[in-house]
Amino acid sequence: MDINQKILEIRNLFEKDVSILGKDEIYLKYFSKNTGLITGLIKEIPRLGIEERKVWGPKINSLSKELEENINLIDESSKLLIDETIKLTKGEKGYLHPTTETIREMNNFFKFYGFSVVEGPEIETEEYNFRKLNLPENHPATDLQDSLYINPGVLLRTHTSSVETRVLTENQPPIRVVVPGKCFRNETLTATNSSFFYQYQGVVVDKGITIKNLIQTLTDFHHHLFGDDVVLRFRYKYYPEVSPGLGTDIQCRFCRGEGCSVCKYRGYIEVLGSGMIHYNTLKMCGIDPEVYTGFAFGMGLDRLVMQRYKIDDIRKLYGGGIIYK
Amino acid sequence: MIIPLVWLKDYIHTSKSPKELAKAFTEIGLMLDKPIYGEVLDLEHRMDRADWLSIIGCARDIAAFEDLKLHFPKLISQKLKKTEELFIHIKSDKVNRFRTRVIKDVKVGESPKFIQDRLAAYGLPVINNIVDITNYVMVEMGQPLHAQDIDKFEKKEIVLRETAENETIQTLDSSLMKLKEGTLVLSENGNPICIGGIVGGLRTGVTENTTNIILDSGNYDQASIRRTSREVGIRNETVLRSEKFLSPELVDLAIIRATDLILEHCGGEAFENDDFEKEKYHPRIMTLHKERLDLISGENYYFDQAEKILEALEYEIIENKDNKIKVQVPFFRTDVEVEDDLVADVIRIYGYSKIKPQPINNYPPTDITPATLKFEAKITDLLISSGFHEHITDPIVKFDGVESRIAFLNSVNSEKDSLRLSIKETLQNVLKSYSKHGKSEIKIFEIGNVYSKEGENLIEEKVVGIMYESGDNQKNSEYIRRVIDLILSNLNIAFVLKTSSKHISIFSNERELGYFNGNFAELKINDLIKLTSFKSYVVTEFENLSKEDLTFVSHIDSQNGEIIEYAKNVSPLVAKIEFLGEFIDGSNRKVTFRFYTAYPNESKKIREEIMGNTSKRFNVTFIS
Repeated sequence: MDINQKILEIRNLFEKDVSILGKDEIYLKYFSKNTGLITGLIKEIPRLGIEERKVWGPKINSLSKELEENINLIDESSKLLIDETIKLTKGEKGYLHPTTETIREMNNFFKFYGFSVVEGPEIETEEYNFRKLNLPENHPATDLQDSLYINPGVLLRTHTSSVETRVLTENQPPIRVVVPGKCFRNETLTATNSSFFYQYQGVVVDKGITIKNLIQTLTDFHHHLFGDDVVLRFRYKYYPEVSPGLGTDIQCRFCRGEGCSVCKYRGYIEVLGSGMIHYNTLKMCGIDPEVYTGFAFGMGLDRLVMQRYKIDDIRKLYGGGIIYK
Repeated sequence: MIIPLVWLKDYIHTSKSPKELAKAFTEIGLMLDKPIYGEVLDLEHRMDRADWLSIIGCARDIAAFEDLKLHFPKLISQKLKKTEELFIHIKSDKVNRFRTRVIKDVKVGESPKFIQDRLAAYGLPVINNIVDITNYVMVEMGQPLHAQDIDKFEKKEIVLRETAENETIQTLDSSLMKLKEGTLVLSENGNPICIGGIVGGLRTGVTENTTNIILDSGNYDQASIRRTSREVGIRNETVLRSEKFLSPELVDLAIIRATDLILEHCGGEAFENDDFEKEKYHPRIMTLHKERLDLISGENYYFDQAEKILEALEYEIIENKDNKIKVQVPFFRTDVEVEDDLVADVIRIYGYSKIKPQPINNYPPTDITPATLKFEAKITDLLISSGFHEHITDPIVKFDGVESRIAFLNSVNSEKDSLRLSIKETLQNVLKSYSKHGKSEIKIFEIGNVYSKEGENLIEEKVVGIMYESGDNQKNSEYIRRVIDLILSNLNIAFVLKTSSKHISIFSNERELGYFNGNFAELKINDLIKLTSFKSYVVTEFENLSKEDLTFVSHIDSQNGEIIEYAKNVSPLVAKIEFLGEFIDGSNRKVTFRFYTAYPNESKKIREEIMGNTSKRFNVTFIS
């Protein structure tokens, strides 16, 4: 063993430790009975030959004395103490709006299934917002009172289905898209109803698309969103732009379908409307309904977002009433 | 639709519990909407199925689903002797059908118990046998009807017409009501006695002294009913039905059934009176192809059940051969438009819970996600990583008279009747919330549309709005300026700034891509996309650049950025240019910048070129 080298190393190490470690820690590191570095050196002395002992013994002793004195001189108060048990505050990163975060998560799911993400204008014509969705004039759902009109025939889109008709008109199958988007209705504001809200729409048109494909897609999607243990219920539901229509509910997690105040005693919570795209819609959009079939689904995003992030009022979600921690 | 089970069981015999029936109704399209109280189901009604606004209609579908027999009430008084007691004049094209009957010598009194029980379970008040029977038949068959006391008519006529200005009516359930011009009414001797398809009037109403009645049942323009109902503020059981697409043929069913019940329970003698029909009814014939059913359902076994299902739903089977079923659509199914609706009926009654899911097998199509969306995400991520919080705010604001602002024609809310011109208008609401929570340094942004109009042109444009608020104006503008640098340098967009009275505009390639002012900046996403270009940030070799500083005396503040930007492009040998600072020297504003070049030997020439061209172009003086 090269004792000279060892002494040098210990001295260098000690200099660094003095600025980092506390008084007790440093004492233990060098002088503890079992693991102390100086203790270790002293333990080596008896193993040396007589001549070496004569030379190195005093050197080791003087190093030991020197370090001990230096340790006593350490002024604890001047030292920068780092307590690693204290949690640091968070960094300078910002957060996404809960709706964007949710949309991204959904998009990621659908991208994996070959869907593109598209968008369309918010200022729409009746043609795309109503007519091509098989909603003729005078249809109760097209009541002027329920939509925000800018000019006669021009309004803010009332659903993302308007983007569906645009995509179907501007593209030929195969088509697979999802549409997250802002929608508008002429409503009086309440905690659950807003004139401004978000919808998420999905559209598939191709050869041989069936209602079985729709149910599979919705099942996978809900498992992704709510976990594999979610219980789904599919039922017939009418929407003018589809036939056959399909409503999708998830079983209430609180009562397991028995009915409680959370699910308004229905046992299930409605999440989504869907169906096979109406024959007339495909036709009006320039797609041959005898060759191609397809499905579409649409859901309100806000209730889902509010549930996930524990927001009780839609006016807070989009009215500037939320901040991030 | 409210379904008292005691009433439902008049038409189907089932021992199923309310809960089991609710489950079945839900699966076929009539979702249980409210908790079950006792023996009454409250089911959600979708507007297309006008026939589901009747107990018999709901019973028909549940019978088909549960494979039960439907016991339809026997109709007796199909044809009667004609009388011309009251003349009917139709003077409005909002009337599709108006059929009347006269019943003489009725005894008004209490209704039989079964009617009282059913109306009470449904939630309708019990009044007298005549009125109760019209209500009973309305709920049973889904067609509103109406009885009036003939002896209270001053003239023996009913005119269906649209009101002139300032007409009024005394309704059964309220005081004097003023009617808007163009309201469809039944009138007698010039005065409205009833708002067609909505509510009856007090004057000709049936009372305990009534002995002769006229029974009418009509079908009117649905949109007009909805409009009038809103105008007069009445939404009763009659309106709920009249405003839907009821078949004009349903009138017959209702008036015959009501006559039968009146004759049985109130006595008297019945006669046909006038019957107006705008258009003759033609039954619709449709064909269900096995091929189509297989295509939509994805299975080949549905077709075997199709005839039985369609028959149970009262489609009349005309022919079933060669994998095609030709049917006559029942008159009450006004919702059936295309063959897929027959497909829907078959799959629905077969049971949605029996559909087996199957993944899509086709190849996924080409990705058509527009570049804008990916680009937006990139800007979002850039800002998030710089500590900005994303917010989304409702773009609807109060109209302030600004000409370029888009306003709505019909908003119900006077505080929200137009669209934002800038994100700032709505994003600043978030600022207040942060301040309220005691946050002192607020960094927020939103990506969304702003809206404006130029003449007839309506413009929606996607922008990113960025806000920094520290409470110190100087600090705010410096920070915002830095964020703009951050974004544009990340996107590799060269830009110059130009000051105007409103704000500082950001220009690149002669295009104004945004502006900033105080604590806020707004950039147009579409312009950013057009201008952005790829930039390699990788350095592989050591670049030995030599540098030189230049100082000039500026005259106009807002030009300096432009001057430096210009200087950069004077010589291709300039590798980069850096702004060093500006200082005031007496009355002069001096600006210093530094250029770098990889050609030190050409340094002097470059320097002269920059000084020469720049001073000529901008009329500034360089200091040596």
